[in-house]
Amino acid sequence: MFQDKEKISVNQAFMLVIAGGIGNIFLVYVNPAVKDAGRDGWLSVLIAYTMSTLLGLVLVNLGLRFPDKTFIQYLPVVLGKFIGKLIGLAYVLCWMVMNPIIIRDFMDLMRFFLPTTPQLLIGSLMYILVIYVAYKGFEVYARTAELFVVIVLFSILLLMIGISPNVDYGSLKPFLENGFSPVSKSLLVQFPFAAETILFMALWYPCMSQMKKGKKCVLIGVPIAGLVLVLLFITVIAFTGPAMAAELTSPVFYMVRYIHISDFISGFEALFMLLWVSSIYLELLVFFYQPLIGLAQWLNLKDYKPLIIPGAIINLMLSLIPANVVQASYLDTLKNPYIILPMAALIPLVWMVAVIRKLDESNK
Amino acid sequence: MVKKIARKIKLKKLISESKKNSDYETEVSKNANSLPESIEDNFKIIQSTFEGSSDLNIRRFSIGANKKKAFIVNIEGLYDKRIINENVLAPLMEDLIEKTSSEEIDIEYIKSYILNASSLAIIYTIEKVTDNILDGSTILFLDGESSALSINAKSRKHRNIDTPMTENKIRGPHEGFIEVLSTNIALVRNIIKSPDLKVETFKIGRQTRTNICLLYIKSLAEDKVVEEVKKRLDSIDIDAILESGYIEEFIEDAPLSPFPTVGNTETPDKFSAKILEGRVGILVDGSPMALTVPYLFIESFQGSEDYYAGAIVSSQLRLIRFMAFHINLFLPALYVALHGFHPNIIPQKLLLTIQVTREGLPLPVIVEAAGMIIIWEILREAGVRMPRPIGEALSIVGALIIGQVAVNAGLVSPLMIIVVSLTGIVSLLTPPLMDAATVLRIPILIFASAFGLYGVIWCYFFMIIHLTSIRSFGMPYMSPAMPFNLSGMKDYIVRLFWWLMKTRPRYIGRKELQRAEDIRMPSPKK
Amino acid sequence: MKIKLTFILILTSVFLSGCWDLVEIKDRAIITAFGIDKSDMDGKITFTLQTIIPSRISTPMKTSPEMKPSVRVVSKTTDSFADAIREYAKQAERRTYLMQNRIIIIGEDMAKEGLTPAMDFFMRHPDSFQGAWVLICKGKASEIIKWNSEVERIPADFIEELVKTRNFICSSSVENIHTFVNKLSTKPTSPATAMIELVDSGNNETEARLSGIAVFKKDKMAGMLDNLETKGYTWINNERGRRLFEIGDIGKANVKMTHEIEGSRTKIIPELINGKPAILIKVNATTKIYVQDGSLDLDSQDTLKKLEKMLEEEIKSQIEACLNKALKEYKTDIFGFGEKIHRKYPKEWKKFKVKWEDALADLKVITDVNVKTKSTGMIIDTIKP
Repeated sequence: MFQDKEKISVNQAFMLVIAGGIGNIFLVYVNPAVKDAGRDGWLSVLIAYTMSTLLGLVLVNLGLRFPDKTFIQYLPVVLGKFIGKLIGLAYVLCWMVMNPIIIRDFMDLMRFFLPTTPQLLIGSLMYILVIYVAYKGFEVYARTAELFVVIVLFSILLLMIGISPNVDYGSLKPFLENGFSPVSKSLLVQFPFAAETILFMALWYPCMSQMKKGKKCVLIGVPIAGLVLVLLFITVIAFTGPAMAAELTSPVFYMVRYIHISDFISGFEALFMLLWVSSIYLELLVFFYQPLIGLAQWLNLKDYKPLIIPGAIINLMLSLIPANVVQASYLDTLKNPYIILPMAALIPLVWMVAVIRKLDESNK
Repeated sequence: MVKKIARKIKLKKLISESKKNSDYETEVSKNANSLPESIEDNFKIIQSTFEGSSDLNIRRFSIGANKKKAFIVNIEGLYDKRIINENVLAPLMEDLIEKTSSEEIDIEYIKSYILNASSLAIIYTIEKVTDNILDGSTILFLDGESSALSINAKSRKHRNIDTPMTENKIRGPHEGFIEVLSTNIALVRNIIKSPDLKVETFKIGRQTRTNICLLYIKSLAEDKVVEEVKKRLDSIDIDAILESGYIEEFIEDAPLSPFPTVGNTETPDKFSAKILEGRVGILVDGSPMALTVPYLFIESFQGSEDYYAGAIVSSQLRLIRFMAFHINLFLPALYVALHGFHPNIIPQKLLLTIQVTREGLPLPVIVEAAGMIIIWEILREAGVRMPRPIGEALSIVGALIIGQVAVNAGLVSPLMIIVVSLTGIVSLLTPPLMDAATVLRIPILIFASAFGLYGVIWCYFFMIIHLTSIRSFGMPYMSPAMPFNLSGMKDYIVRLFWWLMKTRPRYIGRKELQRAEDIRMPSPKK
Repeated sequence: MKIKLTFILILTSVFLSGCWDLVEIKDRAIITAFGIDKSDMDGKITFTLQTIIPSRISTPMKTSPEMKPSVRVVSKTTDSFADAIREYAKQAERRTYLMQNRIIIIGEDMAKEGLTPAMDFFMRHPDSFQGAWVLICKGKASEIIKWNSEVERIPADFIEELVKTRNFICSSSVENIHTFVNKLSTKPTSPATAMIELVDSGNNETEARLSGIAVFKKDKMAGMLDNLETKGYTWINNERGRRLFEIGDIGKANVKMTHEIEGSRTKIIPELINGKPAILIKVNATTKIYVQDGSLDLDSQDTLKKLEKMLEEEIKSQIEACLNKALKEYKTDIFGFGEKIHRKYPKEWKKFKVKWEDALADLKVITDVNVKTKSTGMIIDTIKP
């Protein structure tokens, strides 16, 4: 199946881990984190990504036990045919939610630049890219990720440097004013964000040419993604203060808008178009492949390519359901604790069953 | 549905026909006719084969005291008259005049003892005879022999080795390839003096029977690539090959892509450098343009002079070329996007200047930009094709006068002239990508006018995805950047010093990576 | 094949329906200043917009000889904030463009009414730039926007220069939309920003000038600081620019001296004294002598020390004047003292925050000023004839 044909290198795997970890999340995560945990949101992000690293290690161990199978394929082996297939279907269906939400976020963002252009057209342009890459294969996506992840990281760095004259790090104090409970509450939303990359890895991990190095990719990639997000969160709070950040639709976007270099150049929100589009591109494909490959493997299809165009059309149509930005972001916060969190909990569960049943196919 | 099936059947027919055609070569060799013994029969065969060719030259004569009949045949203008007269006819007719025993005078004897020309071969079939005559060889027939002697005394009129027109450089060898294959191979041999350099010859083209040579270094070139090139060359079936461009079009990986997947060069030094990196070179008779495969995207930015001038300067030049390519593709589109969608990026003072210059212009910005780009392309093409003196005058008239008048007449804004002419000039920095940029510029412009910067970035993404998805003879086109390869990055956007590049680019040939045993940074003793 | 087909379909749809959001630059009217006033008619709001007339702008290519104003000023009275730009767009043949606007002037009446709706508009509108300066105007904002500068073709540019140069001479302290809203949304803090007025500069000419600071209590303007108090505010607000400083009474007749503060750094340190909040303001400044009229024994260290002491006293009095006005009279925390205490003593703050505004009047503020003379310039003492 797909893991036989396409191989990805260690460097590509590393970039894919970061891509899943950052993606477009940096546009979204600040708002819920501030709403839940106030100025201590960065702590919940930090804990979330630490937990996600551990989850990644569990997945790597699980994956090494079944070196030629993806998550969907070894679920029936571990949990028994019926339960495994059932949970596999649930896993596939869960990821269907993600793509419409992401493309909706993007369309709402683009409305700022192109207020009268039909949103559907903007979304479908993005989906042309997605379909194009999906047809060209997972390898091509991995290769483009090598460039675009670097662009995203570099742009975020530039952004933090650009805003640095306007920040006041005092805004982060007092630390843990209301105790730890808001942080742990925020973890319910933040941990699924962090776990998304690991759940994606569950599908592409057997494609890695050197599977042994998957551990290294997780140990470096997830913390890098987490660290970038923590730094970005700190910068946002230091720039806007917690009260203002909670009211903004996208604090990061607002921050970029404010950057100006000595009244000479401003309008960085448009200059950073490369950042917006590449982040959406990366994330969109992560969650486009996930249900697609998952479904193809669940149905034991030879190839996932026939599913590409129907998948894209369904995603685009679903993205038009939320009436406005408020509803869209509400759905966004809803999906995390109720849909992705159970999926993330599935990995250690499966691992434990596999350890107890002493399942290991690596010697075959 | 029915149509589809019909189309499929048609396709199958076409394929089987083309298979038949490819068998042409083998069929010929099977039905090869051997030469008759009688000299009169031979004479008749030659005459009937070349009937109506008035430039066929047949000289009949007799050898020795027994007056053994013989004749030589060749085509006027293709053979070297001096060699044939002094080294073939003279010994045959003068030195053998005393010989009485006709037994001794046979082809083998003449080849071994009489003729002192350097390149001789005995041939046995009529087809071979025709081929050799057409190639410019002189054939000697002897009575009573079922074979003939092919004397390779070609005299081909050609121009001298000259400085190539397309690749000017300040430092480095100035000689370029010419239209003669043997000379070109010799030029390469002069540079790479290694028995490892293999030269394999193919004949392609039913009418032109063009010689095509494959050059590679056996210990460096990847076997898979060599095999692939041979396979692709073998599958070419066409009536004529007039230039290496024909071959290029037939062996390309992504024929629909505007980006080149086969490299071409006119200079032996660049050609040799590519071969020394493990690539396969293709030389075509009659074309001074040599091809190299696999060709990667980054090679469009690598000039041969990069390696002759210092590493620091050439790295900087490469960065400039890289920038130039982006400007070339995106500048007009960026201008339209910033102007029409995101004027807040432009500083206020500059914005006002733009606003003043555009005040009262009749055309929308997109039409103006597209129009100016097309006019530029017309002027450029005219400048290249015109005879040189007119060309120069024309480019001055075109660039200066038309631009100036258009601005004065209030048709075009002066900023647009700057943008478009900058775009045009910048395209000269990366000649291999000029075609791609010319093709893509207008679509990008259209997307920019519809979606602003989003459209521009979208096009950029589309381009990147396209570039990463294509391969050239098995090598990913964007390597060593995507997929990433650290040792390859040493000769990417920057070129490091030679003593830092201890290995050959890993992504081209993997056989013998080490360039030399001991490359060191120079450290003069004090 | 299918990809190409969809691609072509979308491309044609793009062509057929044209460019939705492309606006030619020649069709835009660039707003350079935005004024808001309370209308004399009750409940209504007057907007004044200054836009550029491109044909009157001189560029290096084309200079227009007559000194006509190159801006157009339009006033409009509407019910709500959202109507403003739309109203303007209705009567202008060009599309208004707010993103390049750097100057927002708000009339005093309007500021006293409350600025929340105005700030909501500037934060919400996708075309507004949050780096635009907020200035409060004595009288009507429309008058300042209508005023024509003799120096700059675009009057808004003059005001922008005014705002920028205050960094060098520390004449005032200005907030932009972002910092204004940031202070507004931080619970105990209130914003304060510079005031602008037209002054008669002689020769029948008027000139715009920054003078004083408008003090807000949350979003409503409470009052203003006079010149001395403004200087105090710039000290507390850590404006780091240069400033000239005259010592009033030097203790010796016929001697006048001006110092130039080269750099200063203000630290606000919250403390708890006997369980009560207190603030320590620490100012470190370096000076050099700018002008000296009359001889003073500058060669000795003692004299310099004495001068430094005098400067310190002077600065202290400025700061205290400002503190008195803001804390005692207007009872508003424009310095962010409350937030500082909150950050350092989060537990105790919970007690204080309930009655913070009432506590302001009794807040103990200790000022500690430290001045060092770095240089006396090119000469030491004055020239003795």
